[in-house]
Amino acid sequence: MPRFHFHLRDRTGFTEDVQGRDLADLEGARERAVREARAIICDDVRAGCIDLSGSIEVTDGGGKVLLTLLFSEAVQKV
Amino acid sequence: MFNPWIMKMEQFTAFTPEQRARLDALVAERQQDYAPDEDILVEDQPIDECHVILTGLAMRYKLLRDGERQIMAFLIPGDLCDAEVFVLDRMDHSVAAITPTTCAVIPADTMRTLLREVSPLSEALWWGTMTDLAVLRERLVDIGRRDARERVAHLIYEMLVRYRTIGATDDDVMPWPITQDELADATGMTSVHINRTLRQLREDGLIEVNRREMTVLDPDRLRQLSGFNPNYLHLIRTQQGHGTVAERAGDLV
Repeated sequence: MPRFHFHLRDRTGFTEDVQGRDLADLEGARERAVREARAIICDDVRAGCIDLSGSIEVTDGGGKVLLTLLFSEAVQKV
Repeated sequence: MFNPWIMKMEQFTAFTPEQRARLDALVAERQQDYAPDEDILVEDQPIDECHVILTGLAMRYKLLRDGERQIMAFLIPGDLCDAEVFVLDRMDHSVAAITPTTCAVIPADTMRTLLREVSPLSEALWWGTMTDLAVLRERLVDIGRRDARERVAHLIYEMLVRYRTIGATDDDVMPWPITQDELADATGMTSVHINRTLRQLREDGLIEVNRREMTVLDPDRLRQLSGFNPNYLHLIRTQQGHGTVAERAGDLV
């Protein structure tokens, strides 16, 4: 399984994912990125702040950007 | 010999030289090595031997149907994996090695004999079980009530105290082979969230993480941030100031 890294860009700055995670494919990585974004949004809400300007940048082991998931894509506004 | 099992139990009771020799011989008698991710005990499998961690790091965990994992405890040298063996016939969860791990394997019957003949041992095992339960209660408080920073800070401080009690640290530098995924599965968080939290703790000058080690740069502030109260580790003889036992972790608790 290929390894994907999930880097975070948000109001607190840039958080690099050095270790990464093995997943079946890019679709799996996208699903993971959605979960990661939601977890960060949840924690921010608990602290009294909604920040949908952040993003999760998914790269391969060589640092090539495979996809960028915006926080605003991870949740639905109703 | 380095016997972390004795070092852990010494927090509760003192052994005579003869008793120590007997425990040392027992631990040396049969040892088994486990590779990273290898199961030491498997859920629903019968149990008739005790496993004491001598080197390495292991975890108590449960796997869910969707492949998610909850880690209930990190087991370090000196920890008994399966006190259940005396009463229960099967494991209700699994234990696996995280790093290359060596266990002393003690047949249940040998342990029963030992419990009869080495008088302080049975109370010490009770103390160990009670303490493990208290550590588990902290994980419950973590998940239910502590915010992300408190949760991670609390776990780090607790690991530092536990590693200190078995003499496995260099001052405030401790082994830290725990990955972000394992830390996430132990705290009910996700790995990116763990990374952000660790980054903030680093930027606040509280910790420094290398590949296999963590340095707690400011134990006092980390303790304050996490609201850590050492009472649940029941380091009775450290609190009473017993010589070398108290020296190991005394300044942290």
